[in-house]
Amino acid sequence: MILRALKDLADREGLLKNPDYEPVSVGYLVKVGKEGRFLGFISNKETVQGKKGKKLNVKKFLVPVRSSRTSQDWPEFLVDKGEYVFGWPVDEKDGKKIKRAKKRHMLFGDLAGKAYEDTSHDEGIGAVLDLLQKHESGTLNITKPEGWHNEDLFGFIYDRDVDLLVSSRPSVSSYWAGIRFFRVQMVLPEEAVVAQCAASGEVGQTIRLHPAVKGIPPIADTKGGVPLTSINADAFESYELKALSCVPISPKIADGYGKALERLLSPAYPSPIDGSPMPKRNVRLSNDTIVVYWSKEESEFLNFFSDAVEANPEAVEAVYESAWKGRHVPLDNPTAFYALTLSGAQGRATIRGWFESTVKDVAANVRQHFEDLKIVYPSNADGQLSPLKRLLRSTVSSKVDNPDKQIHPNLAKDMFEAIVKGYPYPRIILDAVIRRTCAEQGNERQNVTPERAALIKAFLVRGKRFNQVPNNIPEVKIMLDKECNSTAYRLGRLFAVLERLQKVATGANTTIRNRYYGSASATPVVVFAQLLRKAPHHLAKRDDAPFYEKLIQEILSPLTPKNAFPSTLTLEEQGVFALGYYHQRQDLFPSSTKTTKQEG
Amino acid sequence: MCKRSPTFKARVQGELACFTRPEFKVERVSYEVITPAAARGILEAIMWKPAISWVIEKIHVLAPIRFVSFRRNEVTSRASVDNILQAMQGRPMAHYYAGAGSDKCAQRNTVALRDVDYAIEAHFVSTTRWGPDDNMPKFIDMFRRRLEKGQTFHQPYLGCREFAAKVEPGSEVIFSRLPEEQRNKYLGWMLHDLDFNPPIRPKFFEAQLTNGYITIPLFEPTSNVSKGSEGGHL
Repeated sequence: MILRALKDLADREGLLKNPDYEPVSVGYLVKVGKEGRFLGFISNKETVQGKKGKKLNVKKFLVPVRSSRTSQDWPEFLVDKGEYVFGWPVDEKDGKKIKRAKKRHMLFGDLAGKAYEDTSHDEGIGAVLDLLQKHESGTLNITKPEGWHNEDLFGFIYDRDVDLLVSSRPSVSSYWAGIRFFRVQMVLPEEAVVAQCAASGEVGQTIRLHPAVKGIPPIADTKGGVPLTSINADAFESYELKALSCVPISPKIADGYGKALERLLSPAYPSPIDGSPMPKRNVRLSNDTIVVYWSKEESEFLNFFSDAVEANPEAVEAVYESAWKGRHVPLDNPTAFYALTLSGAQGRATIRGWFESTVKDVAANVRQHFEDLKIVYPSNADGQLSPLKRLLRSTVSSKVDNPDKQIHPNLAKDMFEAIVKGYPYPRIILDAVIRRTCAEQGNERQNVTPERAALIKAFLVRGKRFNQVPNNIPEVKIMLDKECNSTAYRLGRLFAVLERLQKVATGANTTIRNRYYGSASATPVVVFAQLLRKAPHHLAKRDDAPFYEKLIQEILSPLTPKNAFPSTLTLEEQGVFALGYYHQRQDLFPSSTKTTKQEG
Repeated sequence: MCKRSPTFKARVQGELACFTRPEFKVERVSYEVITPAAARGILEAIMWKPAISWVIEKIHVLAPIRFVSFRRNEVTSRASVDNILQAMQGRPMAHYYAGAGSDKCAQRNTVALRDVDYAIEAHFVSTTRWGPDDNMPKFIDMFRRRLEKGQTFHQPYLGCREFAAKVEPGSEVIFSRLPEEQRNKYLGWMLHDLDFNPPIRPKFFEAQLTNGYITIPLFEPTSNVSKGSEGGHL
């Protein structure tokens, strides 16, 4: 369904308007007059003053789609490098290169010659052929244009035509449309494999080379574009089918999905109708993973989706069905929603995940995700909606140079899938967050950050929804829950109170959190006895001792001596401990809570 | 005259399955449901003779369709027939080291299905190699017995050999755990089976889930590929 869905998108958005031509930088245009008169070169190169110095801009023209030629002798149609067009070798002194240039020039000429025949002697091509003949026979000496580089392309323009390359003349372009498939795929008509397409079911010629998809991260590794499939080792073949006959795909599907992916991966793909940038349809999940998404029919929700995942507040509001700038975004659209997770490495695009649902369900799930993440924030926190990136960064040390590289590779993808599917978060995230809170206990700054607390809360809430956390885990709320009797929660609260007591009593900068948080969380029995023993000393120093005494009393009251301090806490319980600690801290600090109005 | 057996029902389950799409065979992506070809493979593991050939009629999907993705190190070359012949003749065989990190391996991603559960309805028919000694009631009994006992020629698998399948006789009444909204779905073009008349070509059909099952059309293994909408042209 994947390729089919992509092809349908290409059809719907009109991306396949002009499949035979593409915009490419052409260095020079060769003006050709009647009977092959050489009227000179037009240079399309321009040096402009850029921000970082001089930049070379080469004008782009619509030329016949380029083939996937690498080192083979394979001429392009009517627009090619100097080596093919004029037979100028890349190295004048190398005998082999001179021979190669001759051969390539001949191939170029032959291809043009055939076109001349088959277009019933199109004038433009005729003139080009005459010119080439004069050049070969030596009657005409064409010197290399100034600033020529052997990678520069030459296009031809027939003197009567204005703004029309020979390769775009009407009779030429319909001829080219007929042979394009073979030239781009680099097969001779007799060689093309006829089979049934795996995606459309049509029987016909199948492609030999898949479109190279550009824009899959890591961009450095996928510069020239990577195909979705390439059979480049023996073990990848089967049933005696060689190379890509193992993967029969028709040219229509290939064009469709190639263009669709190009559009989805690009940040601002120019619309085929008017050239204006089309809305973004991808979310970069991590260093090497990107997810592209689209829907079967156009849906306004998609315009918000990326921003919603990135937690742009306005976009999130839109997901909550509130009027956004007076517009109501329809969120109950039952049309299909598709998301494809891609990663580029090893010279091909890897599909890491494929997800099919409806816009309605995805909108509801995104809303649920933000609902689950809601937690009381300290008053100086900059925002309560955390983008996925920020949440993921909270799972790694804040001190590293490149935090994105440290994030567990599958975590971004798994979290994204959990969000759109409405599933519980992957357990890795709980593990990572708890580990970080224990590792960062010694830091000056708070170890249980709002993001981490929010993640823990959301993890537990979602886990409980699917019965995936043990029964003793309580319903965790947005802010301090004084009624909660969970031992882990109360211990976390106790730890916060004791820490605060120590701080106000001694004024020390390093508190029990710096030394004991980790062990208090993992093995309460070892630590709490010690901590409680110190409490009376702190209380004696304070006038507001009764307040703390009462609080400690209240926290400990539902716990019996036998179960008050367990020897260990499970990972989920440690999460509850962290939440108890966090909630209590927010409650103890005077100017806390932005969300006092929300249900506790 | 072509003889056929009655329709059998087999229950196939597994923790992991990967019915690899041909268009994504290197970095494997599975189809949403078992392909008729894979179903045939499972039945053939239980019983097959040159005299018979399996025909898959229906596939019931009994568990929600869920994907899981992971990476594995796989080898990039094929086993050398010469080396194996050498070993068969008692001569020492060259060692083949293809551990992770060696140049003979590559890391490949797999998007597989998890916790699959299908009921396959199928029958077998006689082939051109049906001989005078072959006896339909005998084969029917043989298959029933083997299915009941769990006897197989080799371990049945779900797409890839490493994903073992648990196969049992199917019951008359099937209870499907497929949620309502997933019971009627258009699945696109799926691999039907391979046409083994040379040249070997995969054949596809349009799969439609209705009420939780897919009806498989009859497989026509003619290599008459030129028959088609625009055969030969773009």
